[in-house]
Amino acid sequence: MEAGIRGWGAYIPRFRISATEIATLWGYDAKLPKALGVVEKAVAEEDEDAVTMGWYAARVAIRRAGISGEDVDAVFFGTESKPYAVKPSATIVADALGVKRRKLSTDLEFACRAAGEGIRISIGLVKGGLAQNALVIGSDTAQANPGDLLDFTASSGAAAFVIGSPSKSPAVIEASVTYVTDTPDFWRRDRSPYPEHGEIFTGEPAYFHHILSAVKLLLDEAGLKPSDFDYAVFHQPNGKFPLQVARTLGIPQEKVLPGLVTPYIGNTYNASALLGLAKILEEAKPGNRILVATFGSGAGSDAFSVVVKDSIYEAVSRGPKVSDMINSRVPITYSTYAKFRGLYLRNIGG
Amino acid sequence: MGAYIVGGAVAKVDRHFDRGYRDLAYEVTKECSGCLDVDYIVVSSALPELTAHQVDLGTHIAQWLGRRVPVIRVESGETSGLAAVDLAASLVASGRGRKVLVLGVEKVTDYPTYTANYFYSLMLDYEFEVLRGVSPPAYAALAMKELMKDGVRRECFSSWAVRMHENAASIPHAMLRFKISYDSFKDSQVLAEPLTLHDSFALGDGAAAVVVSNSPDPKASSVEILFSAAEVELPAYSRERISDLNASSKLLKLSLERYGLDLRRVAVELHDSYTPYPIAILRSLGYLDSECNLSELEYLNVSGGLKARGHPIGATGIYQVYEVFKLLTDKLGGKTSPSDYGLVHSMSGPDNVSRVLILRR
Repeated sequence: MEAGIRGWGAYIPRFRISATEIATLWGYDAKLPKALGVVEKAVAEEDEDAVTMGWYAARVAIRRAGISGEDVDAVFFGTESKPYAVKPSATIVADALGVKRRKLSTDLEFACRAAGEGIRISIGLVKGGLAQNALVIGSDTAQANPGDLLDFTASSGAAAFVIGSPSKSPAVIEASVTYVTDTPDFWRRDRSPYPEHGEIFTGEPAYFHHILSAVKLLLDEAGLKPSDFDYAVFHQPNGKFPLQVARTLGIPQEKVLPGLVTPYIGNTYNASALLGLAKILEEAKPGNRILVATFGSGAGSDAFSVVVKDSIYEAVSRGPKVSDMINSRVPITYSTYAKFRGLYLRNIGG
Repeated sequence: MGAYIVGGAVAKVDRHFDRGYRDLAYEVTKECSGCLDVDYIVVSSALPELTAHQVDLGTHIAQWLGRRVPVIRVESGETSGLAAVDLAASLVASGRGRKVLVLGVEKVTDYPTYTANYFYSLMLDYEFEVLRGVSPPAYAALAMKELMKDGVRRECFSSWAVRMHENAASIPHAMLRFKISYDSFKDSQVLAEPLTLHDSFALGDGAAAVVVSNSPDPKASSVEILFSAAEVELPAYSRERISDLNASSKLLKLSLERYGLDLRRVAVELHDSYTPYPIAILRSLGYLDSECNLSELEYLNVSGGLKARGHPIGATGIYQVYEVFKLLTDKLGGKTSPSDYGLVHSMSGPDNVSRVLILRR
C-alpha cells in the first residue's frame, strides 16, 4: 500500500465551443471532429486562469478529505499555463486555502503530466513521513495556435487530490510507477505564445510508447493483469487515443468510457486523466480497481493502481460531481471563445 | 556491353522517427549481399537539402558506408530513382564502372505535414506554380474531375486504392499493410475536392538498394536492363487536359509495342501518387474498361504501389526496380512473373517528366 486519495475535487468552466464551429471557421473537413473524437471543449472565461480553477478544485478536495488547510503539509501545482512565468501558483492557492506556512510548495511543469508526478512525489512524502497530507493540483488553460489541430481540443479545467494515509482514504493507491524519456513531441519555446507539436510523432513514439511502458511496468511490479481492473483512465489528448491504448492492452471499451471526458470538455492538459479519475471515483463501488495513466509530452507517464474503499460514498457526497460540471454547459461562438482566451490584440486605455 | 541488376535489398517504408539518412542507408546495404562490393555508388535522393540540411549527401553516405569509390547523387524529383538506375546502367555500359550500387534513400517524416507537403510541392515549378498556391493534390483533383467528366465513376479511383492496399497486405516492406473498403472513402478526409486522403500516396521514410553490373552474376539471379527512357512533358498549366499524361502513355505504349508485351502477363510497377494518374494511364493504354476491372492485371503494382507500399520520394524508383527484379527472379507477395519482362514506370508531378525501365530475366 503506497498511500491514499483522501479527497478530490474538480473544476470545469461552463462555457463550451463546438468542434464543428472550429472546423467550419478554419476550413477543416466537417468529418474531422468525429475523427478526433471530440464534440466540444470547455473554455475558461476572461477572469479565470489556472490558479482560480485550481483553487476551486483544491478547496473541494480538502473538503472531501475532511481536513482543513492547516492539515496540508505540501502543495504541488502542476500546470503548463501558469499565470506568472516567474512566481509560484502553488503559493497563491495555498494561502487562499489557509494552508499553513510550514509546508513544501512549488509549481511543477512537465506538459500534461506534472500533476501526475506531483502525486508520485506526494506518495513518497506520505510514505516517508515528511507529510501527513499533500495537496496536488493539475490545472490548465491550455493554449493552441488558432486554426491548428490543437485548437479542437486544448481546453480549460482543473483537478485536485489530497494524498494522505491509506487508512483514512476512500481510495488507496496500491502501486505506482513513472516512465520518462527525452522525447520532443510537443513544446513551446520561450516567448512563443503557442506550443508546437510533431503531429503523428506525438502518437506512436510519445503517447503510446510512454503510457504502454508505464502500464506494463506497473502490471509487472504489482503482479496485476489488465483484466484485474474495473476501470481504466488514460491521458486524453483527444477522444480516440485512450480507446486505442485500451485496445492494445486488451481492456474493453466499457471500462474506459466512464472516465473519458475529453469528447465533452476537451483536453484539460494537467487535469485530463485526473478529471477522468475523479469522475470514476464518483461512480465506482467499493472494491473496484482503477488503472490510471497520465502522459506528458517531453515525455513521460505515471501509472497508478487505485482501489476504492467503503468510505467512497461519503466522500462523493461532500462535493460537486464531475458529471454535473460536464453537463452544466453554456455554448459560445468562436468569437466569444477568442475574446475569453485573449486571442484579440487590443489597446486598452490611452 | 549490357547492364544487369544482380542484387538488392529494401528497408520497410515507414515513419522511421529514430533513423536518419545515414542509418537507413547503412541498414539497407547491410541486408544486401554484394551491395558494398562495388566500384561506384549512385545515391538517389530528392529532398536531403530541405529535410536534413545536407548538401553532397552521396559523399557523406559513401563515407558512412566506408567506401572510397566515386559517388554521385542524382535528383530528378519523384523520378530520381529511375534516373539513378539509368545513370548506373550508362556507367557500366560505358566501362566507367564494373558494379554500381544504386542506393535510394529519403527521410521526410521529421517535419509537420504542412512542411513535408510544401517540400513535396517543390517538385512543381516554384515560380509559376508553387508561389501561386498550386499543389500536387490540386492538380490530381483537377485530373480526377476531367476523368469523371469523361464518365469515369468515383468508384473507379477507389478501386485502385482498395486493390493497392490488398496487394500491400502481403508485402513485408510496405508501409500500409492493411486492407481498406470502398466504404472507407466516405469518411476519408478531402484533400482537394473530389480527391481524398485515400486517393493519395503514403509518405514515408525509406531506403532501397540495387546493384547494377556489367555482366550477369553467375552465382545469383540477374535481370538485364533492356530499355531505359525518359521524356519531359509540357507543364500541367500549359496542357489542354491535365489528365492527359502524354509522356507516360507514350513511353509505356512504345515499350509494350516494341517488345510485344501484354500488361495482363507482365509485372509492372506504375507510379500512382494519386489515384487519377494510374487510371488515366491504363485508360490511355486500353487496359481499363468502363467498370474499371483490375482483376486481369494480376502483376500490376504487386507491391501496393506508392499508395500503400509508400512513397519515400527519391527512393521510390529503387523500390519499384527491386520489386520487379524480385518478381522476375524470385517471388514478391507470393507471386512470380510468368513473363520474362518487367516494367517500371515513374513520373514527377503530373507527368512533368516520365521514365520507363524494362527489365528482362
